[in-house]
This record gives sequence, structure tokens and C-alpha cells, in this order.
Amino acid sequence: MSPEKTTEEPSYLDYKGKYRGIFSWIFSTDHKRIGLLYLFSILTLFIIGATLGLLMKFELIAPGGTIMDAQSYNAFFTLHGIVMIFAVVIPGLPAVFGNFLLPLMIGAKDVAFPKINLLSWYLYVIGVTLVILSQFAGDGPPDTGWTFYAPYSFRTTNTMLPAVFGAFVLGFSSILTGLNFLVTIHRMRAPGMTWLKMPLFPWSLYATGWVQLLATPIIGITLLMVVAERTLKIGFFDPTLGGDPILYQHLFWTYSHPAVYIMILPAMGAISEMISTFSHKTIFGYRFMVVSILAIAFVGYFVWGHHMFTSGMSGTALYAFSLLTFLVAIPSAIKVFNWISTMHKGSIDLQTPFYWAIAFIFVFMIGGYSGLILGSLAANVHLHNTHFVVAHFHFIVFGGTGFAFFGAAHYWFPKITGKMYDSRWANIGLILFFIGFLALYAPMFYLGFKGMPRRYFDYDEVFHAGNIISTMGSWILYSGLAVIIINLFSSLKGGKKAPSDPWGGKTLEWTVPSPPPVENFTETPVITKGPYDYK
Amino acid sequence: MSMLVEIHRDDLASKTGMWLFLFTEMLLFGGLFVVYTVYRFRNQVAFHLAAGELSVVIGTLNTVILLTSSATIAMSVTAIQKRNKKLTLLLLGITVLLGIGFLINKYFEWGGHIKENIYPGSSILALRGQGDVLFYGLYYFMTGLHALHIVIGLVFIGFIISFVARDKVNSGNFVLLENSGLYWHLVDLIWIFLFPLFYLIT
Amino acid sequence: MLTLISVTITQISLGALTVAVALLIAVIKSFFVLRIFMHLKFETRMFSIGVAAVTLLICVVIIITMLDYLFR
Repeated sequence: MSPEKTTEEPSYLDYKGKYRGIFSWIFSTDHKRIGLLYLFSILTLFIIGATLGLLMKFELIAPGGTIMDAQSYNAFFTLHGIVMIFAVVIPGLPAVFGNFLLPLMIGAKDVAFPKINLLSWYLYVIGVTLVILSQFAGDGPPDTGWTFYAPYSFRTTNTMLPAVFGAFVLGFSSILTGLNFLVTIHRMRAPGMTWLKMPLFPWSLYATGWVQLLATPIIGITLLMVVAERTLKIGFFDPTLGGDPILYQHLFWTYSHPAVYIMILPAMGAISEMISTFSHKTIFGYRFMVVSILAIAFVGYFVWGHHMFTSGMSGTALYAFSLLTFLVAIPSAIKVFNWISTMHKGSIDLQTPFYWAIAFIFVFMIGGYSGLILGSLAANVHLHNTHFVVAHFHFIVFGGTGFAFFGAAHYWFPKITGKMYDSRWANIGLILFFIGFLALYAPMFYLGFKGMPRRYFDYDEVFHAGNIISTMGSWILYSGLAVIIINLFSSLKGGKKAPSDPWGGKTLEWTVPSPPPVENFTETPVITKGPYDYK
Repeated sequence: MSMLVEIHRDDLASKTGMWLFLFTEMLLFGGLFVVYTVYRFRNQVAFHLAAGELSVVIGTLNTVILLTSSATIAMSVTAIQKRNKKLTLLLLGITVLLGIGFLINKYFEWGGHIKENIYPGSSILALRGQGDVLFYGLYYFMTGLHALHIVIGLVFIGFIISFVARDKVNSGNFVLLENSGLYWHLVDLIWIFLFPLFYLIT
Repeated sequence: MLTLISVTITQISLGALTVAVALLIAVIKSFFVLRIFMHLKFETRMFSIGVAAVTLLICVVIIITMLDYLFR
């Protein structure tokens, strides 16, 4: 371990400010503490969502009702979707790792608007509380799916308003986070850090910030319209009053497709950091990576109709959206190529985050290819609303954002906590999780291709074998998750003390102590070199 | 080594933040313009006829009110730069009064329609046909959401008035006043588009 | 000023052009509000680019959505 200059600065964890105990956390405007507040909340919601998934899979282990009836299954997949999408994967990487690392990686003391940062977290907590409460409200939990499609979303007699408002509030939290990061990156980069000297994780947060800012208001207004439809019978989506349910789908997906880029762009940024560090080599094609990040965010705005191919849109719209969908795949492919090229002839250090990164590339590519299949109009007719779609988005979102999240959790664990995690248990957890993941989701491609619909609690006997494998996969995955999470928590107590730079990384966060002091840098760094300067 | 505690103020960051927030508002209403475009395209005659029932006089009056209030708040920024606190407060006060005037007009306008049983969900409206239902649905929703933003803007300006009075916002530190002006101008901009789309398409 | 023009012009029924003219005047009005009241003439160019980009984005979203409705 390298000899450390002991600074008199207390770390952000030991810092004693105006408040004591839990109030020093929930009233803190320190971006590092807020990142951890988010981590705690998001982890809780993730466990809730994962448990819902586990129970859903248990229901599906056999045809017919196993542990629940059809209506309950509808409520389960609705909450699973709302929790996972709005409360876990969309905030996920930006709110946790973005908050913690962004100022550190650009040489700043904090984000541009620390109080608004804390407000974002408060809004997050209010939003998820509303979503959870929706389960216990008067007329039964929401049963529309997380997509709240009209006309059912305003006709169902189940209670919809708390869930809809919850999603609205969570959207507002997301907008404020994006706004904060955009201003931070524009105004607070350290002297000498030009745009093209900024590392790729901040770049990904920048592009994500624009998507959060410019896409989320659309779902805000759409949800308000659903409320108006339910309470005032305003008629926007009600065919009996002249409205068009397909217009709801247009508006919903105009946000929800860019939302998946909110999920994946920071993941890609984090993966870039990990691959560069553990290959001890600068990122191959840095400029192409930057352009690809921006291109994905930009083109991703115009492909939303590929969720609606069978809805009744015009032929012109079908062709336009399919073409644009194929275009948006190109920058993602560029990134994969560049990651592999970064590793080529690098000096690989086989650490847990690196294993997560290569696992990411594997599952992300499967998810991506299956997306191209779904983007083909003729194939989509057959595959829409089958388990093929379920497999696609779990590979690309859970595989993509999820794997990147776990990789990032291990990669930056020493920096955040000042401790090293136990790498043996971390790797065991990863292997269990990976095997479970593949067993859970790969059969769904086959099942969907053979015609098994999604969001049904029952299925034909011919799909039984595939479902058994899938459900058993969920048990293995869940136990892998348990090992990973328990290992990280126990390493908090018993882990070895971490140096500033355990991995030999070159970005700015590795130049400060682990864990960092409250104001991050004792002296504002001055940047003269590129972000991954490995020679 | 001890930390220098810097009180660092970045007005450009503050203004940038406000502009970014204005972008979200533009997109919020943008979604409604999508809905308007689609339904106007599908119900051109009905929209055309229903628009004729709205009072162009009140609409024009409101447009003038809002444009004037935009001017007064813009002038207040110049006033505070010239260290004229009294004038600043006067102009802000006029802005608020004009805003309230707008809301009062709206109240009477909506009241008129509601007396004739034209409101979302009413059976009379449903009887008039789908085009009318959609027109008035959009009318109430868009002008209603706009009015809500007027209220928010007035509250914001109210706070600024108190800050100016207490010198927390002054000639050396007036970015908050500028930001409240930006928000108010946006509210004006939205109305500039709502006005022709609902009142002038006859 | 411009408001009075827009009101009077649209009283003359120009048929299909009425909407276009009214919107054009709205655009001109907003140009003035943005440039002078909102100070864009004197601020960093980034803000003007942002406003233009967001406006363009909304227009493109409307156009793509109309690709569905125009051709059904």
C-alpha cells in the first residue's frame, strides 16, 4: 500500500457539520452523501422490484394459477414495471454514480445547484412513496401495466391516480437531476479540462442530461392528460368522445423510448471507464465514442414508433420508424467495437469490475441484436407482445444498465467507502448471477418466438418446459444478487483499507483520498493531459 | 493545508439553469401542441366553427395585457441596474396587477362557457359532437395549464418583490430578478401561440 | 401593435391561409419577445441555439407524429 499523505481533512463520511445523525444525511447538500441517499433508496426499490419478479416467475412455473390469479398477476407486473423503470433504472446510474463521481471526475467541488440536488432526492422519495401507496389504495392496485395504455387506464375501476402522480413526481426529480448535471458540466470543469479532455462517463451524463431534460416533460403532460381523462372525461384518448388511443401511445413512447437511453448511456460511460482502467490503455477512438454518445441521444428521440408497429399506424409511419430504428443501432455498434479495440493489446488486470464489463458487452449485444429483429416490420408482427420482447428488454436493460451498475458499484466501491471489497465472494456472486440471468431470460427468446404472449398469467402446456428453466434461472439469479449485495455490505465493515488509486486509474477521482474529503480537492486541479493518459 | 472557503457566485450558471428549465416548459406545452395538431387535422370544420364562439375581444385584451406585463418586467431589470429601487418595485407591481387582470378575464371567460354547460365531461358538450368535445377539451386544458403557470409566475415575482424591498436583490446581484423575468416571458410566449390557435382560426 | 394586425388580418377570411398567417405573426411576435425582452440579443449564443434547437425538436416530433395521421 502506498504511503498516504494524511490530510487534516475529514472524509465526507466523518465530516461533522450543522446536523447530527440521520439529519446530517437527509439535510446534506453534499453530492457524495446525496449519491448514497439515492443508493440506499434505489437499492430498496430494486429489492422490492426483484422480489415481485421472483414471485411472477414462480407463478409462471406451471400453466394455470400457481400462487395467484389473473388479476393479481396484472397488478404484479404493473408494479414490477413501474418500480423497475421509474424508480430503479432511470434514476439508477445518474443519481447514484453520477451524483457521486461527476464533480470528482471534472475537478469540481460539488454540482452547480446542491440544494436542487437534495430536492431531487426528496422528490424521488415522495414519488416512490406514492407508487407504493398505490398498492393499498381503495379500489385495488393499478393493473394497466407500467405503460398505462388508454383507454384501459381511464376505464379501469382500480385506483390509478397515486401511481400516475408518483410517476409524474419521479419524472420531475429526473428533470432536475439532468438540469443540474448539464449546468455542472458546462460551468464547473477544472481549468484546462476542455470538452475533449473530459472522460467518457461525464460525457455520457451530459448526453443523458439532455434526454432527461427534453424528453421527460412529454410524459409529464401525458400523465396529466390521463388524470384529466379519468377525472374530467376530457376526451383526448377516448374513442367514444373523438379521441385516439393511438395518440396516447405516440405521446407515451415519445418519452419512454428516449428514457431507455437515459438508462443505457451512463451505463456505457461507466463501462468505458472500467475497460480503459483494467486494460491499462487509453480508450480506442475517444472522439468516435463522444460522437456516438451524442448520436444515440439524438437519433433515439425519433424512433418511438417501433413500440407501436401493430397498433394501427399508417404505412408511412411504419417505414419511417423502422428505418430510424436501424440507424440508431449504428453508434451503439461503434461503441462495442471500440471497447474491444481498447482491450486489444492492453495489459489486462482481471478484476471484478472488468468481468462485469465483458459480461455487459456479451448481454448487451444479444439484447441489441434482438432489438434489430424487433425493429424489422415483418418480424415484429409475429413477435410483438410475446416473451421475445420481454427477453429483449431484460437483456438490454437489466443486462445493460444492471450489469454496468454492479460493475460500477465494485469499481468505485473503494473510492466511495474507503474499503476494498472481498473479490472472491464478488466473483462468486457474479458467476451465480450470470448463470441465473442467462437461464432466466434466454429461454424467453424461444418461448416468444414460439408464440407465448407476455403479461399473461397462464400459458399453453407446450411452453411449460421453457418456463421451468426460466423460473429456476430466477432463483439462481436472486441468490447471486444476495451474495453480491451481502458481500458489499460486509466489506463495509471488514474490508481492507483502500488507497486513493487501487486500480491504477487515470481519471481525476483516483487522485483524491478514498473516501474523499468533503470539498473533494484541496487544490483545484489543472488539466493538461487527456483523460486516459496511460503512457 | 486549510481550505479557503470561497463564496462563489456564478450568475451565468444560475441563468443557464433557468433557461434549461424553460426548455422543459416548452416541451411540456409542446406535447399539448402535438395533440392540438392531430385533432385539428382530424376535425377541421368543427374546430373552425367552435373557435368562432370564443370572444376575440377578451382574447385580444388578454394578449395585450400579457405583452405589456412582459414589457414592464423587462423594464424593471433595467431599473434595478440603474439602482432605481422605487421604479423597480413599481414596475414589478404593475406586472403583478396585469397578471391578476389576465386571470380575472379568464375567470369571466370560463364562467361564460360554464354557464352554457360547455365544460369537459358535460352532456351538453358531448351532444355537440366529437370535434367540439376535443376543441373545448384542449381549450380548457391548455388555457388552464397556462393559467396555472401565470399563478406560479406571480408567486415567483411576489418573492422577488420582497427580496428587492429588503435589498437581497439589488443592482449588484439581480440574477434572480432576471430569472423571474425569463419565466414570465415564457408564460407570455405560450399565450402568443395559444391566442391564434384558439381565437383566430375562424 | 402586432396583436392588432393579427386580429384584423384574421377577421378577413383568408380561408386555409388564415392559420398560417396567424401563426406566422405569432412567430414574429415571439422573435421579438425572445430577442429583446428575454435579452437573447445580448446573451451568449448558446441560449439562442438552445431555443432554436428545442423549437425544432418540437416541430420534428409533430411532423413525425403527423406521418401517422396524414397517411392513414
